[in-house]
Amino acid sequence: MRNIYHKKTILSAALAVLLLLLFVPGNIQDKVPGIPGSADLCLQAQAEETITLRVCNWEEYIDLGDWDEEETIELPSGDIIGENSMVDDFEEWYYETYGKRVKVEYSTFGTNEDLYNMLTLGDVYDLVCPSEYLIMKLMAEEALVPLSEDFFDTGDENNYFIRGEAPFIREIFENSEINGEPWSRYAAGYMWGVTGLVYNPELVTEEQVSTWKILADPSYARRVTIKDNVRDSYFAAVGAVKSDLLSSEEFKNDPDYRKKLEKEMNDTSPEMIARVEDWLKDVKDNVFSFETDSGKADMITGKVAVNFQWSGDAVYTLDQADEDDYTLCFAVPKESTDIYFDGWVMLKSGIGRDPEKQHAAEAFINFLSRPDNAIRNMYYIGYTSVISGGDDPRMFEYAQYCYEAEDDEEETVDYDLAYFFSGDRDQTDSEFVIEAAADQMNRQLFSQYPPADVIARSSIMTYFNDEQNARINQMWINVRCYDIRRVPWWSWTLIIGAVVILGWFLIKRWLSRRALSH
Amino acid sequence: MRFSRKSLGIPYAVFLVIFVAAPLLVLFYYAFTNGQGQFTLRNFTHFFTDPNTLGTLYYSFTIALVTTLVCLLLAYPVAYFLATSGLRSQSVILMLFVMPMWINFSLRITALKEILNLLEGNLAMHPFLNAVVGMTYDFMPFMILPIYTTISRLDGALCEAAMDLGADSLQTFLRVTLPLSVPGILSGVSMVFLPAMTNYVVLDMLYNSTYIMGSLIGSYFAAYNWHGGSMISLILLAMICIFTLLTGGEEDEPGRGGALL
Amino acid sequence: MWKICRRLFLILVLLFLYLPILILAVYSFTESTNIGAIRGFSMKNYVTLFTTPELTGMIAGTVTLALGAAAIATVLGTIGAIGAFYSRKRASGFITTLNQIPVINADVVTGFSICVLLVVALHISKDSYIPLVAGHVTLCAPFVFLSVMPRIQQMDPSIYEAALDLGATPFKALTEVLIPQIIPGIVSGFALAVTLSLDDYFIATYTKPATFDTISTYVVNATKGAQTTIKTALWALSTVIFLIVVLIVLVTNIRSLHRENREGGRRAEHLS
Repeated sequence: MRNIYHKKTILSAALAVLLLLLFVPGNIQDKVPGIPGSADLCLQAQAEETITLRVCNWEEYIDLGDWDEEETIELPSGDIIGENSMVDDFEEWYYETYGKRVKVEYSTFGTNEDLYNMLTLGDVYDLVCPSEYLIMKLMAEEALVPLSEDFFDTGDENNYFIRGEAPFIREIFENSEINGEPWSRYAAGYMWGVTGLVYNPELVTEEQVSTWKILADPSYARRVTIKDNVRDSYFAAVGAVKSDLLSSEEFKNDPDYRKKLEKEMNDTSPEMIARVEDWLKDVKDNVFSFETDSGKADMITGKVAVNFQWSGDAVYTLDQADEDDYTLCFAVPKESTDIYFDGWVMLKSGIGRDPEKQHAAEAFINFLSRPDNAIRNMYYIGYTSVISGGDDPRMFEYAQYCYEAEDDEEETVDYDLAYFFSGDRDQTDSEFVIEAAADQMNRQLFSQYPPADVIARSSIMTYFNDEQNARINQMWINVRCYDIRRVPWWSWTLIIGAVVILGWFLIKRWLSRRALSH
Repeated sequence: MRFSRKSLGIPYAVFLVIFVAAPLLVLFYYAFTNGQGQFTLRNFTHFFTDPNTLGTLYYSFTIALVTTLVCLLLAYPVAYFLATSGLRSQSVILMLFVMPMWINFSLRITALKEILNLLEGNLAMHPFLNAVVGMTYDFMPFMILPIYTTISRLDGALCEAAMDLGADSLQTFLRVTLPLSVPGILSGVSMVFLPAMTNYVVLDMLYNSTYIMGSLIGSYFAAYNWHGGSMISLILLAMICIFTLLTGGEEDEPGRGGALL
Repeated sequence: MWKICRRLFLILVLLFLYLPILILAVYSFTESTNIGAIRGFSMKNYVTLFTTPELTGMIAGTVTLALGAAAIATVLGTIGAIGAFYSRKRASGFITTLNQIPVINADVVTGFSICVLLVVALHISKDSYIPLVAGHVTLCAPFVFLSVMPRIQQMDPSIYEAALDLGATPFKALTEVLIPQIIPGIVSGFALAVTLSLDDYFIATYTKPATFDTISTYVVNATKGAQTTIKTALWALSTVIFLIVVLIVLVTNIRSLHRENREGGRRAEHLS
């Protein structure tokens, strides 16, 4: 009887194990691309006519649709609403326009470093959306497929990107070069922005947030946050360390200002790294947290007074705070600001020489650049599209829709966006002026479309080569470490005392046990 | 081949060689090479000459030491009172003390964070205190259980004999119970000290942005610097070995496994 | 007086251990997003917890991983213990020593070393789940080994010999005589393995595919995030896990509780 019972138990245990073993690989199979599951095999017949496009984008960086009716954006040129996800809409549009089926395999990444790691460890994508410095790195590594000539044909009405890209962005993409080739040959911009400081105007004055030095200011001890990544923090640190030089009139009036600014802000000499390390160590003892995402919530809940932020997330933070009737502002320090871009690039490892795939990839970029889609993405994620619309008035209409002051607004200012929408910075009588509420000068409008003077003092941050990277990463680790030279003497005494007592005790014990066992 | 019980050991031995021995050998390789695969002592000398890494060793050591002491001061009385109380449902009450172990530590620290936030106002103001409170909260059950097991297994006759020989209860405790419970204390210490030096998530979650030994590994990992990370791992491993050699060979030690079940 | 002090101390330590969890449990039933003022009763956190695909997927993934890794670890650890016990002294010493390493090693180091071997040196993609499962099995198997070993040592060796003498093949003797005797050790080893895998953060974080999350890696990332709905849904998760743990502990202890009550009662009689 006993025996039977045991047999049963073993049998069922073995069965359970077997089931688990069967279950786990099955589960894995579904999730790993490249290992065809049975469902994929059935679809293979169809797959031959379908182009598969593997897209990898930032998390939460595209419209997923499913808007409420009341979210409809009513523009003079027509209503815009996101019903389906952008990816579904693209698949449908591509079939209608080009008569071919395309299937987008959409996945996301968290940081540029993650994406780069995914690529080097063998993940294959056709189209990815990294930030400018990773684009530069990929260009330098010759990992990218150049955009086709057709993509730049302004005559084709489906080429929304080239017809709508903001002139000043195009200027940057054409003038920034890697190995003698401009970015624009390989990359099509998606979103852009600058770095700055979100602050609570009740606690901090405009004067105080006009410099990166506030992050190390002890009067805001544990009430400021900084980004938990070395590049952003390095930039802010350089700005603070070189504050006097950067804000001097002499430097600003230099005919070669922009070139020199870029050089200063990308200074990675050992002396500079050492000074940055010292400054960041002060910051470490002064900040509430090193954050990537939580700073937004900490700012809204009032835990912190100043939050180093990207302009796109600043818009989101300010919007959220407004919902709670809590006013926050955004400022860009006077020294300089990092102007950043996320752009689409096609990978050799994915696209290869497949012209159909490349066509689909470029069509995907164009579809995202169609003004109504650019607006949907902007609305959904808060960042600013590189698209100004060209002949299409909707991009500017959307800016007006968001920021034009109500009729009963008492105090208004004229906010000139000509630099973005026409590329003409000197025009006196611009048609791209928004009459905005006065407080928008340091709020959402300012964050979404920073004014021309902010753009003038912006600098791109170039990519670091392996050696610079190693030094800067080491510097970042040093910043977060505890410097042994700062250990107070009483602590040394206590530690040494504790170690001696513990060691003495342990050795005595060990000896006595040895004596016992002999 | 004829089936024999001995051959059952082979798959497990192979498994251990592949997943325990081989990774350690690879750690050695990476710790003593540079990016080009050449032999170097730079990682080693860097750790012991750089004030930042030495400072990290100091800082994690301090946190671990304070945490272990606080844990011990709280856990020993708990274990002692429980084991000597003659309470009816001793094991159920013991269960109460070790039950938090089964709840994922990240969730427990989330809970603690909310409370500390309420008590302290600005969490970031007291990074060291947060670290110690968090670690104590996290690891205390690991200290209570082994001490309890040791004390409850003590022969009551020993204490009675001490009493009969004229010792008062304090003397009995100091001269009999305490020395005899040292194995339990050591086993508890070994289960608290090392995790307290390496569990950087507790610090991260409680707004302490200073690195400890574990975070160094994490940051080297994030920067794809396998060589630096391997060296830190080896140094930690060496510390564990020294500690085990000094305290090791305990018969009947209720190890980590024993503590969990 | 002394007795009251002792009780008070125990209660204070218990409060320290449970207050955070209990307060979180209370707040998980409200609409509050911060501990402080209580805002209206609501089950919304529980709805979010069980209807958000991201959250349910993460919970299912964690449990699947824990059961799968524990199953493999149990098989490996058990046959390892049997093999080691009957091997020559040197072989068994070799196994026992290697087995100790993951037990005393810091999880960070175990996770990092497995990642370096499998992903960096051997280029096995994390997306294949092989590093993750291997890591968890490495974490768990030694504990299964340790929990099975004492059972084999306590076993009467003559039973197995008797089975052989009575004509059983060694394999039959193993499955029908030896293993049934050590079943309690195997079961507790399995339970231990599941617990360890569920609690693990460090091994998972170094070996998991980017798109997969266990409860701990998810919670740690979520606390860095800005979404309050997720944050409060995690309060609900912590409450659910707490209740499950209480339930399991109650069920497994109800028998020993009964027995102890009886014994305790007897002891009390004895004293009076």
